Amino acid sequence: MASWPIDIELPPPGESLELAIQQRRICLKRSSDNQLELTGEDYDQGIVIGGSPDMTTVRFIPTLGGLPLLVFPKSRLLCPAHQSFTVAFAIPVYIVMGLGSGSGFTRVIEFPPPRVPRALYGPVDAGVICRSVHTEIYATLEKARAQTSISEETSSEADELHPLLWAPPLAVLMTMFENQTNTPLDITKVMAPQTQLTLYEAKGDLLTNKLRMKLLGELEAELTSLGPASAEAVALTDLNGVPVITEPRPTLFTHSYKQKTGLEFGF
Amino acid sequence: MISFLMQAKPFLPTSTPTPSPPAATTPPPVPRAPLPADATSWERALYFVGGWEAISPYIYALITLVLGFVIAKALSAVIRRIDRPGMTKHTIAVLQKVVFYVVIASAIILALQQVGVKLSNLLAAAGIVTVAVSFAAQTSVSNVISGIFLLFDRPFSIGDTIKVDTTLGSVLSIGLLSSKVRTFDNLVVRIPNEALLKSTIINYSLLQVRRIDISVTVSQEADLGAVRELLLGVMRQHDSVLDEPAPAVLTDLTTDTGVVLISRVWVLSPEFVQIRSELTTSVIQLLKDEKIPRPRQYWSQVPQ
Repeated sequence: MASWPIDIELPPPGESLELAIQQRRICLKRSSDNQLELTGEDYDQGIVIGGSPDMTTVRFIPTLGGLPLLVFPKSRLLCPAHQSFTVAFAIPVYIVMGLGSGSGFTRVIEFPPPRVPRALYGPVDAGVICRSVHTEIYATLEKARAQTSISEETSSEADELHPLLWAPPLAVLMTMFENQTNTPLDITKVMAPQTQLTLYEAKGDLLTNKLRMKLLGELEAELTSLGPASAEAVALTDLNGVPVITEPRPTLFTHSYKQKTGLEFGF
Repeated sequence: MISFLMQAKPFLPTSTPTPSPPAATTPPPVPRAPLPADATSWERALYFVGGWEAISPYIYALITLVLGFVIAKALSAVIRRIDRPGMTKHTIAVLQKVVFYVVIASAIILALQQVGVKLSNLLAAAGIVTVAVSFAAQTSVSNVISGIFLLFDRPFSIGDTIKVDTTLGSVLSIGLLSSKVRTFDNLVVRIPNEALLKSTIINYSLLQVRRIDISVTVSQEADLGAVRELLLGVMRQHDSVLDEPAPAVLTDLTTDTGVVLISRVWVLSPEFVQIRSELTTSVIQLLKDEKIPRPRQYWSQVPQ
């Protein structure tokens, strides 16, 4: 199983490279030593990309994008009083393309997941715009990995293309819910600031750091990070091979939803 | 008693003359040396204006003013180039104006001191000048004060889309006397600050999300539940419609001709016009495709 970052050699001038990224086919044609032409379904007029004459490789890395995540579980999540349980969510990731050679890469373009809906977390006059993710609930990390991992077989539609790039890559977000109240609580959404999440790779699968959501009241919660979700997880690198590890604050997120929004429904 | 009062009168000096102190003797003017016959034209000019000592304060004052202006302009340009996450265009514009006018005012005070004008006299005169100016330039002063209020009260910022009376456009600048708004058909409208402060201003950019309301009237025979689901589907399919607050379709009222359904969705403010147009098109297409029974006059748009 291939792992990130994905490096693909650029064709010589005049020739082109067919790829499929996030379920969209693209073609990279090397028009000259220092120019590439990107064409594809989403690029009607094509994009001419300038580069250095010594560029030899196109590199792809996954990222969580630039917006906080607002995760909506597709099923109802009910946490009984004084209980805790852990579930996993699948988060679609972005793919960033860079051009360069062994000595260094430059960011060129970002390929978002096939659909990037957004949602507002908080009141309409002061909320935060987030990337909305509607996801299944997986009971364990292994079950989530079984669903989200991309194998050669799952990519029959793009057999000649890179499977990791073709299927929209998903990262597993493990979340532990702890109900510290005396009443069972419903959880309708989890807000995770993406700046406090690190992307890891474990056996070819993408993971984020594990989160703990303490339910302090009907409309009050606190989110903390518990570090990598798996012991064998290795932090992913940026385009130039430097591991991107965000040092999460002790508490990522906490507030009283009702106090902030004035609404009677919250998590 | 009277005599007592008489006695209590303050002592008035008698007519006995007191020797007055000797008058201060002013030194006799030093006779100026005659202008040499071979003096240059510059030396002649200097001689006729009273010599270097006489004109140097004015020259220094002029240099101070010019330097003050240059420094004010330079500082203003430096502030304009500030690009920090917390600094908006509006904040930068306010900072620019404050720094510019403070430096210019300091330069003027320094220049006046150099030519011998005392600050205390100036302040004393300022009261009289203020009264005079307030009568003579009532409108301008009112605009300036309104401009200061606008800068600090911030009903809108530079770059915001606002509507003032019938003028709709984005704010180009907020000056001391007037503000400029560029309309969407590319006209620049200058609005006096006083008028702005008195007007009702709608700011379309202050909040990051806006709601779009699209109303549809369908026949009373239509299956309202099905129409509602179809409309919700159209709203949810659009990538720019926010998942939360979630789209909603409400039955508004029943008229003789049909039932009015209002679809409400939330979008990012900058995308409002584009998405409203796209959603309206999609809804029209849906009504046609699904052959939803509708009254004769079935379509209307809720005015925004």
